[in-house]
Amino acid sequence: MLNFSKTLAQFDQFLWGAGVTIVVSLLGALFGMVVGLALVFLRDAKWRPLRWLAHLYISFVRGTPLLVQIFLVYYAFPGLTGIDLAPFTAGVLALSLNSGAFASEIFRAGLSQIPHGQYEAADALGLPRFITWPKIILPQVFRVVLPPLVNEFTLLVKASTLLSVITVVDLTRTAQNIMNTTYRPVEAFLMAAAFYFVILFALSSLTRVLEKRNQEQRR
Amino acid sequence: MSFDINVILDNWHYFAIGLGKTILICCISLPIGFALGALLALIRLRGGRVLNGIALAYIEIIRNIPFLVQVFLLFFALPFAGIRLSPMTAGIIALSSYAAAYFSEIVRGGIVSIAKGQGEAARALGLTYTQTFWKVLFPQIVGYVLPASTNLTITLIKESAALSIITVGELTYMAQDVIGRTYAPAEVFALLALLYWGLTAFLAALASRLETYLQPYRGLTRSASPQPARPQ
Repeated sequence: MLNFSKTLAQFDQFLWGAGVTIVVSLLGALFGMVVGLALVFLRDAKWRPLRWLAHLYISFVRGTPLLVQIFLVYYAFPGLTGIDLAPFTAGVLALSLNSGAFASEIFRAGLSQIPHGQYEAADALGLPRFITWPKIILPQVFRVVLPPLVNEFTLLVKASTLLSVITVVDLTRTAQNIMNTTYRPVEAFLMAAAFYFVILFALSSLTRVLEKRNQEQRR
Repeated sequence: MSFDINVILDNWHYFAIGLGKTILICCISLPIGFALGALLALIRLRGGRVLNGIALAYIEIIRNIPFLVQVFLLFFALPFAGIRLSPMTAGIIALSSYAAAYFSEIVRGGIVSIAKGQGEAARALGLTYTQTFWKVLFPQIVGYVLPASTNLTITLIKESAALSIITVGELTYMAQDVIGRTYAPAEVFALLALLYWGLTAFLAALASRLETYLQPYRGLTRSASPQPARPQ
């Protein structure tokens, strides 16, 4: 039956794998926010083709599996351009491009919740734009946007498991490697599952707390 | 490197078989997942404390462990318990149990979202039980459940690509098979993305039609987003 002795001996490797999972997801989320911000501006661009491009991009990202997007970045992109990407770089790039489409939706929703009166009031008080944005609009947007962004990060941690396919040694790949050396697949994947559960449960609890706090403040 | 369309034309039947299998897997997992999900929702609403706790634990475990890890666990753990499954069966079981957890939250949300007063008001107006359900409650439940289910269905289609890793011969697996013989990743993965994109867009359009059909009186109800949602 279950025997964890050999698997537990590799605990350090699991910790390392968990670290890689978190770093890859964090980088993906950060660059994803940059892509998302760019998309927000593109979607409101004056020039119509730019708006179409942004729409097409978001529709594509949401309509295709992440695994296929990872393959496109890791295998198809070097084939077409001749630029070879390391697995880690390709992984972060794929996660960022994917996350950007969802982040842009979050930012848009956040911006749309700021009443127009806020801009008008700032104008009436004679505040210049470079003060209105950082001091009045963005702090309010940030509060609204924070819980969904944490949720997006949770989803990225789950999505990053797919990077094991292009040999990024994250938690999932670590479990596979340890399975191959110990011949104990069930134990290895149960360990990985436990690690993921701790990380993801903490993150989803954080989202719930943040959402609740926002609701209480609005009352 | 140039783009060679012949790679696709010569191997079109592999893609057709793969697409068929992807659709088949989803068509089997979806109703099983929905039925189990509805059952879980009922347990959470009406079951005792113990049953409710078990259902909640199941839902939290499924939602807080990545799908790929669930697939691996199922694929490797079952043989140890003396159960030999083909990759296809293991994949369908994984996808169904995954869908069940998310469907249960959708169905529960749909039932909870209807105020109790709706049923009572209908009864007070002299409607029979059947009338109350079909004319008053059902359209409102549909208004909540259908858009969310569409998003989940599209998520399932996208998640099913991960089953290629345990060698289920669905669309992504077949595409990799073609690449193994032709060494043309750019062409094949581009087509692969287009096929998934077409499939999910078609489903989203179909669902929004169905929603208008089932809900002639939609005023304040949520409408289906024309775009598929993020995998949960």
